[in-house]
Amino acid sequence: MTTPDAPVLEARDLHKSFGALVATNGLSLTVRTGQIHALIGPNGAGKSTAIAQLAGSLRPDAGEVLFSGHSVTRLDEAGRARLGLARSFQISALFPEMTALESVMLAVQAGRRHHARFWKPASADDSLLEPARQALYTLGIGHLARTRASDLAHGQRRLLEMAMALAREPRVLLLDEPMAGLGFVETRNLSAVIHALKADMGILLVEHDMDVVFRLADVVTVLVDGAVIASGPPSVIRDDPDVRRAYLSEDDAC
Amino acid sequence: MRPDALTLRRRLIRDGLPMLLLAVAPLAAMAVDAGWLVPVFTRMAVFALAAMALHFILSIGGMVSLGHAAFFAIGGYVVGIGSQHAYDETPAPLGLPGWNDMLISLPAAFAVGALIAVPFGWLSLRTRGAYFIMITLALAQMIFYLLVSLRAYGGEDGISMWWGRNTLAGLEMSDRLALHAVCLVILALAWWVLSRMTAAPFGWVLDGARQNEARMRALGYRPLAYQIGAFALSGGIVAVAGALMANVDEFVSPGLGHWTVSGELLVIVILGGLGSLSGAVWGALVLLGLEEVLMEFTQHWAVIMGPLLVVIVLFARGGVGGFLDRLNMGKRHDDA
Amino acid sequence: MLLFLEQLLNGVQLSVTLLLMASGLTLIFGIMSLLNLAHGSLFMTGAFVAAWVSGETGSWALGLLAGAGAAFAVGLLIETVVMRRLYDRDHLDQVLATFGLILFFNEMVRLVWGIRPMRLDVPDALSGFVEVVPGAPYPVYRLVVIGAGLAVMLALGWLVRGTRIGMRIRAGSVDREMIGALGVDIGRLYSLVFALGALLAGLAGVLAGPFLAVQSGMGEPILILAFVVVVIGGIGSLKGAVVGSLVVGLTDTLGRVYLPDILAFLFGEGAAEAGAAALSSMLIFLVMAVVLAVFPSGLYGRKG
Repeated sequence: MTTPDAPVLEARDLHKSFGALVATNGLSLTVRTGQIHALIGPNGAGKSTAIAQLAGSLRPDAGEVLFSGHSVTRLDEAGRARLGLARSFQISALFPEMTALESVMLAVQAGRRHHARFWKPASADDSLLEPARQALYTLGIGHLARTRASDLAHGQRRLLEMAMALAREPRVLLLDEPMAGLGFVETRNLSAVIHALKADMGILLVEHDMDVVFRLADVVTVLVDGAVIASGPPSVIRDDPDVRRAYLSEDDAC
Repeated sequence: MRPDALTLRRRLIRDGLPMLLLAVAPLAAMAVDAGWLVPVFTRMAVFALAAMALHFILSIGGMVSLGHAAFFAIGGYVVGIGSQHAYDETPAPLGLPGWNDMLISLPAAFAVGALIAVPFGWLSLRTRGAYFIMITLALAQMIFYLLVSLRAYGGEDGISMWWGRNTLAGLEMSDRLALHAVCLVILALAWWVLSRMTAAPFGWVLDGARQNEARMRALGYRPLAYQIGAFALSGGIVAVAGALMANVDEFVSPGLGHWTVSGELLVIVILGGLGSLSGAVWGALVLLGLEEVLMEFTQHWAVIMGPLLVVIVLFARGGVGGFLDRLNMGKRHDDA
Repeated sequence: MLLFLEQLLNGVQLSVTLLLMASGLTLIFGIMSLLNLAHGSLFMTGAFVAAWVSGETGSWALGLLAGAGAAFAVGLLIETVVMRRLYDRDHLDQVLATFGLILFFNEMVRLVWGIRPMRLDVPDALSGFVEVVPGAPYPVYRLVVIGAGLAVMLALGWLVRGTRIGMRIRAGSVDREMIGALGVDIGRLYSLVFALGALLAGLAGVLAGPFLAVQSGMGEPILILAFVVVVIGGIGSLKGAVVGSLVVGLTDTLGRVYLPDILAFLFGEGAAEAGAAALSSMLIFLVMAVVLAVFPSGLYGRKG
């Protein structure tokens, strides 16, 4: 059951430093079910560090992360994943020797409590096979089920990445630059997929492509030097003078 | 682990043939009055068993252990120590009575090996890559020195079981063929168990963690427990192999745990190829067979064996398994 | 107190031997990412050639030169024939190939010099004792070993930090392709680094020879101890190698001497006697385990 607009993932006043470098400086944001929340900012603004802290692969120096209102600050990445938090990686982090189908089956299995973990062959398990096939078809790569991940094209890997994240029916999806390296058509297709997903979950989207961000996002948070300088609906953010100065103008320049 | 496109015939050659050889060779040796050769084949079966356990964690788990000799020796000493006390009728460690039957000594070897493998695995898995190799090597050396310091059990000289082998369910095992059969059955059993586990979710998790550990955590897995579990299973099986070795030789010494044994096990795994568990059997046949043959020509066989190994590593990766695949496919098989 | 001082010096002397081994290992790993099991064979080469030459000529100095020189030459040879093909391979291949080399070298010395251990004697000029503090005579040779080892390590530190060649070596460990693009012959640089490591290993073998039985397989126990040093100190770090050598050398030496007393004090005589021999031989490995538990990448290791 998902309630629209209910906060599902919250960051409260997160701080993280690496030596003298302040990577996250008082970050607070709320991801709600049914919303796409975009996190944007110039290179080095601390977006990836923020994702890592939300996902649990990096522990904040101070502050809290809440999942459905409960603190998960001290929970590791695997524990958060089991609660229903899924992420995609900036660099397509796949299992190179596994086929697309096997990769997604492995993702489905992660959410299960298996009775025959040590004995029954996993490849013959219909309860893994069916949801995995389904996820591949949803993303339009069903025909690639038997292809090894290392043999997939870049765009196909991105889609497989998404399929693995979705297979576990997450409640929050953290997407770290899902469009990086995609062509025009692929970007449009993936945008449609992401847009369709938000009905059932909250989505945090880190993305460089501003067209994508302003087309998809319900809320945009702008990060500069680890701190939030603005947060609100895309229409407001687009015209925010601080944002234009700090970020959008720079983006045009590069 | 891949959906196997192998035909039955190929699988029979790859997996069945080496087992068949190990089963038939001793009988053939007896038939031509060369009974002294039987222990040579039994040795192959025992090393195949140990190497298969290493193969399991290496090929799907990515754990390059250069310390499995420790578990080999531990298994040997479980037999040696129990047997010595059973003969002396003195109490064994922990006040236990001595033991001299394989129904006790083999499971005990497995348990002790697996138990010691847990902390060893945990420590080694703090790291990866070259560190993992060095740490497993160092921990095994610690066991080696520990065994040397056990004066009650012969120190450097070890224990000569001149009173004879373990019994099996009360039956004498003085017949070489009977002991060979036991080793072969256990090898087949280990193969069956390890194949099942490779294909089971357990094996998938290990395989996934080898390929991309960060991804596994993001999916909700905690691979460390699986890895330590696999390492312990592997250590336990190698200890069983060591226990069998003690029965073949009727002798145990710290030499079972010498680091070169760890090296040999790795060589066997790679010689046989990483593609399937049966590679361990091929590897044992080839390496120990080669040693026997070279020894016929010179006592300094290692002068030939060493460079041969270097050449194999540099120019013939993929081992016997890769070679068979290439023969069968008529083109180069990608082992990457 | 005097015993303690003596044992402390013995510990430092073991540390110096380990440091000569470990610094070569760690340089070679840090720069070429090569895990070289055959480093112990170079140690053995140094000891054997020194024992043989000094035995034939009666001159320890000639033995020293010949031993270190032989290790250097063998290092250059195996780098050219084998090692350079291994730099781009994974560690498993490196382990297997260098394991093959060990089999070869250990058998080769049996073939050439027989199975009887050889003796490498302390030179006459250095065979006396000197009072480090009044009332505590200590073998001159051991002091010379400590001094020589320290001098070599200082020279190595200067070479790596203060010279052009050192800059190239360090740059090579940072970025192979860049240094290649700058027109430095990376292949020759690697050969040089490897041979330098071999020289240090050979030197360690010569210096430690009088304390050991010079026999086939003598290199590997030292190699494994050097690995422990590297694991404790952190792979690729010279500073780590220094600290790690001191930790291992002192722990091992002092542990063997004092552990029986400590155990006897804690558990009574009987239990101590049985346990001390076992525990003192395991002590450094246990120290390694503790360091690993707290610092998985060693005291001075880079993470990952």
